[in-house]
Amino acid sequence: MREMPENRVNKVNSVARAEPVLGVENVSFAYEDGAMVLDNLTLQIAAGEFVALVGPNGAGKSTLLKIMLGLLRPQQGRVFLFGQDQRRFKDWWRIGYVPQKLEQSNPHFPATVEEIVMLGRAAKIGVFRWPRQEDRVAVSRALELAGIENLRYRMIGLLSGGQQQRVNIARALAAEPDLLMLDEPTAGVDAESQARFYGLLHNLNKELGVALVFVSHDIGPLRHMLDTVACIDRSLCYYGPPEGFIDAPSHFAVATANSAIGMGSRA
Amino acid sequence: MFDWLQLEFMQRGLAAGLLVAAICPVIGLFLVLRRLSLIGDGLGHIAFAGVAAGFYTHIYPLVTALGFTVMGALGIEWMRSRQKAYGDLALAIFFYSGIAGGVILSKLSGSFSGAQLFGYLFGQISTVSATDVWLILGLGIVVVAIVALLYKELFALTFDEATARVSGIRVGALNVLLAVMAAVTVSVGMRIVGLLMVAALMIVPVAAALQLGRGFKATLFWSVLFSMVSLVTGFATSYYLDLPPGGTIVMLAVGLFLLTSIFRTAVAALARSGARRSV
Repeated sequence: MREMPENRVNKVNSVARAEPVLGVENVSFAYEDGAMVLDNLTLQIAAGEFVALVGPNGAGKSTLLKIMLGLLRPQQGRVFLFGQDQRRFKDWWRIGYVPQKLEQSNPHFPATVEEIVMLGRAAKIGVFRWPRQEDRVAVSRALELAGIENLRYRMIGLLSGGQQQRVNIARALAAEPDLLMLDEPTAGVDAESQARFYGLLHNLNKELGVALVFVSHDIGPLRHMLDTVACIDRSLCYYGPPEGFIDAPSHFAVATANSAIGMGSRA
Repeated sequence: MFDWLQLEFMQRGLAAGLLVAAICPVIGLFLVLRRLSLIGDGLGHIAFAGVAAGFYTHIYPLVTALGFTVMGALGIEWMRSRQKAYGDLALAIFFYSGIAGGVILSKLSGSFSGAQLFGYLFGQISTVSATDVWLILGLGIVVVAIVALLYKELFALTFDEATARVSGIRVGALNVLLAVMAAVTVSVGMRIVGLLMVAALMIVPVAAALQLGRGFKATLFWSVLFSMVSLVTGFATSYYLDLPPGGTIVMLAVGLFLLTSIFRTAVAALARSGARRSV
């Protein structure tokens, strides 16, 4: 294994000491047809950690993400969020979610970028309450972080795929979350937008200390920013620093199965 | 010009009509954007069974219609949430049950005259009673208050249900609440434009406002404005030209939709020609 740069070693050590923001304990999941997708999987993510969730097609990455987000209930095992059992967890605003693409497929949906980003703060504002000045400031900050202040009053349906993805991330950031989960967020986004997107993630993680869980087929461009790679193939097949993952041919082979996954150059 | 407003029954009709015109598109906007435009129609047909049940049991028909539509809305939502692939099937089953039940109960009641039936099917704004106005006002305030208090949650649900769920919004409960509010809106609206056209007041002004291509709040504002303009002008026109008020109100709303569609097309054409000139 190659030696890690000193700043990376410091970060890995601090991450190892940090309390977990997310814990998955002995989780198993099968869909209605009976096919087992996840089998007794255990995983922990610390505060401020940047984790890439990789694995071959059909390995259960998206299913695991949905379980972590509470969209699916595992048949066995438990999920903990910030030390609390997910079933009793109330502070959902602490978790931001960036889907693969904008879920709303209507190009004429009547909403401005600002209105959509404000939706990301709904849980933090609370039920029966209206946004206040501090919420408007947080929305402006999220727009600025995502680099889309100039799109504030544009209609959401008129934006390009890359711009819409930045709106997604601004929406997820509006509540100032401690954990951000991203489901293949760069799929279908052009190379220039991807590079800007990765730069944004780097800043969020390094400067704001937001823990990131990044589900992707291609972690090549991210490998210098990652703390941990978690490779899933029904169960956890690798969990450790990216350097170890890249240097271990067997893990690489698993992750590149179905030929859909790349790690960029293995230099 | 305003002599039609000298008459007390017209004043009552206008007051009730304006309340209904304000409520209908508020709920309609959420239904249209969630591709549930036809739910209002389905609930209108269930309300028919409710009105007939009112005549059969000698209970105030607006109350029985409210009970039937709320139960129908809960049933539709229950089936829709369990059979995602056949959401329209749930609607169709309740739709036909409402019509069939209404026909049977009308016959059984024996006191449901043809004129009364016509009034409920196509509206009778000029025969609105003071009780109707108070009931519509009460229910309208409840609906508007709920939408105002849960505006961001309803907006989040409408835009993206999965992300709304992730952010801790109780999506299931909100879906049920929205269905119940649609039922209440249909029940209060049927006195004004009739069971068969109440859904039009929920949908057509929203369709017109969507042509303007504005944000969510602005679209809500324009929907309500278009609905109220249709109501006032339609009601006045029906008085002077001796036309059925319900049909006239809905046709004027359709006219506004056509005007905004033409406006949108013209603006898009101008923008395209401007872009070509600048190349």
